[in-house]
Amino acid sequence: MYKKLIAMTLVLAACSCSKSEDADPEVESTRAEVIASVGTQVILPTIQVFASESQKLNTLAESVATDRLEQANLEELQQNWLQLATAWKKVSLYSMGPIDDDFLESGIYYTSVNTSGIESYIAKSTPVDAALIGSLGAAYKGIPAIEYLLFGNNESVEVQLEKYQGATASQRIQYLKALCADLKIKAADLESKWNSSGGNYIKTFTDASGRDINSSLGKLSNKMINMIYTIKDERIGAPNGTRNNGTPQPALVDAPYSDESLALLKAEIEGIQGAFTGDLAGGTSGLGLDDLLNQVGAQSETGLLSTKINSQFDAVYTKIDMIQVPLSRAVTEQSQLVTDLYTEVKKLQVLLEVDMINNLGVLLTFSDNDGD
Amino acid sequence: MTIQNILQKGQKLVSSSSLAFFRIIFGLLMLASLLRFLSRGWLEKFYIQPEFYFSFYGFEWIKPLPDPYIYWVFYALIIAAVTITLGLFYRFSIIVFFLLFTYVELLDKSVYLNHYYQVSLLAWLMCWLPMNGTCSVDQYLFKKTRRPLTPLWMVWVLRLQVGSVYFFGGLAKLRYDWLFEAQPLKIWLAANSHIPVLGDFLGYTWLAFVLSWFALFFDLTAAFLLSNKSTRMYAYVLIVLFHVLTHILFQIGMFPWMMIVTALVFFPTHWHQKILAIFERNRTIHLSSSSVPSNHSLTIGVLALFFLFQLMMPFRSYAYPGNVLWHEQGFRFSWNIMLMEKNASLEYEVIFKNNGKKIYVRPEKHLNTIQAKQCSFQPDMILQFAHYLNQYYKDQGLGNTEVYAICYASVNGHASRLLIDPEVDLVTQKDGFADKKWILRYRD
Repeated sequence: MYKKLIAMTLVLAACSCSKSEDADPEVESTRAEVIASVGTQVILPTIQVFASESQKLNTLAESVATDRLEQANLEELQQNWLQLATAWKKVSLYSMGPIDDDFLESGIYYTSVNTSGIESYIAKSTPVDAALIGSLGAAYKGIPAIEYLLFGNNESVEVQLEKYQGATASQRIQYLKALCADLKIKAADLESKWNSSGGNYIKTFTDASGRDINSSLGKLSNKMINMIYTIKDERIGAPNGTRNNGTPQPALVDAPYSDESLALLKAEIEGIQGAFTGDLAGGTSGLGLDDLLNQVGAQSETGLLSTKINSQFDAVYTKIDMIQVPLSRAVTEQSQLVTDLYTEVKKLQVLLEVDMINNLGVLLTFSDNDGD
Repeated sequence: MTIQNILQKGQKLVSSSSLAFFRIIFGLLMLASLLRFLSRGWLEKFYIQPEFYFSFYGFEWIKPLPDPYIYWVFYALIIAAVTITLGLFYRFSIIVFFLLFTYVELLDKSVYLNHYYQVSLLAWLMCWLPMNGTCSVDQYLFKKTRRPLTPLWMVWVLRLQVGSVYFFGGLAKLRYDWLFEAQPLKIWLAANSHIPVLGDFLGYTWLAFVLSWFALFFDLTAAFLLSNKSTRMYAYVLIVLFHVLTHILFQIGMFPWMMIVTALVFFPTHWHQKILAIFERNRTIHLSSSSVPSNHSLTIGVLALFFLFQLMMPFRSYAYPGNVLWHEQGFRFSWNIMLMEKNASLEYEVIFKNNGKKIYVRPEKHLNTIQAKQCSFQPDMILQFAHYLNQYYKDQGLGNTEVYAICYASVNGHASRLLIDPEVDLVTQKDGFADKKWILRYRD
């Protein structure tokens, strides 16, 4: 009987192995290699782009006259702001290490801008310099504050220009220049803290190649999930009325002054996908979490799980592109399209939070576990 | 061996050293475990900080004592672990230990672990056994506790309890996922590829199959191999290797150490005697001075009922239709150890009845990380939290609510799907032992 059992076991094990060999593309990349690749091929270049965009915006701001802004200047600054903001959105996924430890995020992107406070500083005759900006709270600076200065309360270029050509023009320009300079320093600081030639957080990141809650994979997975929830609930759900019994609240959109919230949320999604695939749009191609999924042969109902997740990213982009007006208008004028986008993001959230995490086997809690 | 033989052999008097040995290792193990628990700040995180606790059905009346009294419970447990080890006021100590430990374990099911359950069961058994008969302080203080000899069945009782974890743990592995998909080991092994040397092999599917099947046979046979003189030593070496490996690979705390240490109860009495003699050199056991009470019928009757109950508990999940890994009805207290990688996404849709207003709530808003994770995929906890939300908003003066769960879960690498019927207002559902119809059936 015992011999029979052993024989049966071996046969069954052999069958099972041969059946699954096709889905087992050898062990090509370890988690350490994936983490190292995401760190060096995705995170560092993403931060580098952000730092260089902030430098560009600062250079542009420095080049304008001190007492008057022309239309071309304003439009160029606005375009550069958008590039900078989208660059930041891709970086914001990596709110770990220096960003968390040194509380850098609030100085870079704090959504609740104190517009009246900013206006009162502009109205004063005291000089606006680095010291003043340094002493101010997060609501007075960073990317959203620059957005407010460049776009006003979602006003036309003409209305904005009046502010930059009127009595308080030089104070306003001074404030704008000071904010851009402040941001450039913060971005350079962030880049330096990650780079191997500076704080070398990249080493900490690549060294933490385990699977516990403090490993880079654990942190990265958590950040991806948090980000997708933020996009679903804050960026789309809230303005679309999920907190208001279905009645839209357009004022809750991200980037309300520029009305670029769709472009920014797309950048956030692209940021998540970058970590997932290990590829940068128009840039290098490397190892990502999808390779780990492929390695364990992770399947969806329709094929490889990684393919399904990438298709879902595409489905989300398609829904974003279908919305032709700014999100603050779309929530009332094209609410079905916004709801459709919400639905697709929800699907992506489930795929990342449930299917991806299940197959990665990362531990997202700190305590003991023995099987449930 | 006939039943009569077994009964006769069970009555055979042997040295009490085995019971004393087990008492000492149990006490030391509990001491280490409690100190570890406190040193990690888990008491604060698990039993003081949460705003809500997931009580067990029927034990809702058990609540955590407020700070600092809950600390006193742990201090009392530590003192009890020490006095159990020393064999000082043993009966009182073990009863206090059993009651307090079980009290703590019943506070919140989100921190339920199989080995905590095992500790409660062993402590309960130990309440009935004279484990301070030798090698204890009691025997010097209270002469009537001296008992150099005890019937062999008392050692068997402990072996049965230790062995049942392996055996039922093995039976629980007889599932499709474990046998034919090598899950969850396939996922868990691949997740450990960062481990030096060993990690290079952990990504191979064949290894997951080999280890799954090995673990199955190991669990099913461990108790028998340990009971057999000729295989005992090999089996024990395997136990040590197996559990050390699980310690390296998985975040399972004291479980491996507990199994390694408690399995020593399978060694023969003279072996325990030798070990204890190291610490009690000058003492010789006077077999003639034994005062063995002849009547254990009450204890035997109670323990027989206990083991009958133990025999049935692991199988109660079969009373519910569907896959227990999915619906988890009868999952706990059944030695379902390391059987699944399960996770889920859970959001609640809360509708206020007085104005029809609808909001979405994530449990993380009210729960700590481990509570939120455990709650996300365990249907009874999902229901409990829905009731909590209803009460929470009532207390806020917002009136009655309807609470719906939007929960997608995935088990052992299978595609995610809805776990809970999103059309069912969970406020109207009650917990209980009846099949929960609002858990959606698992379809392959």
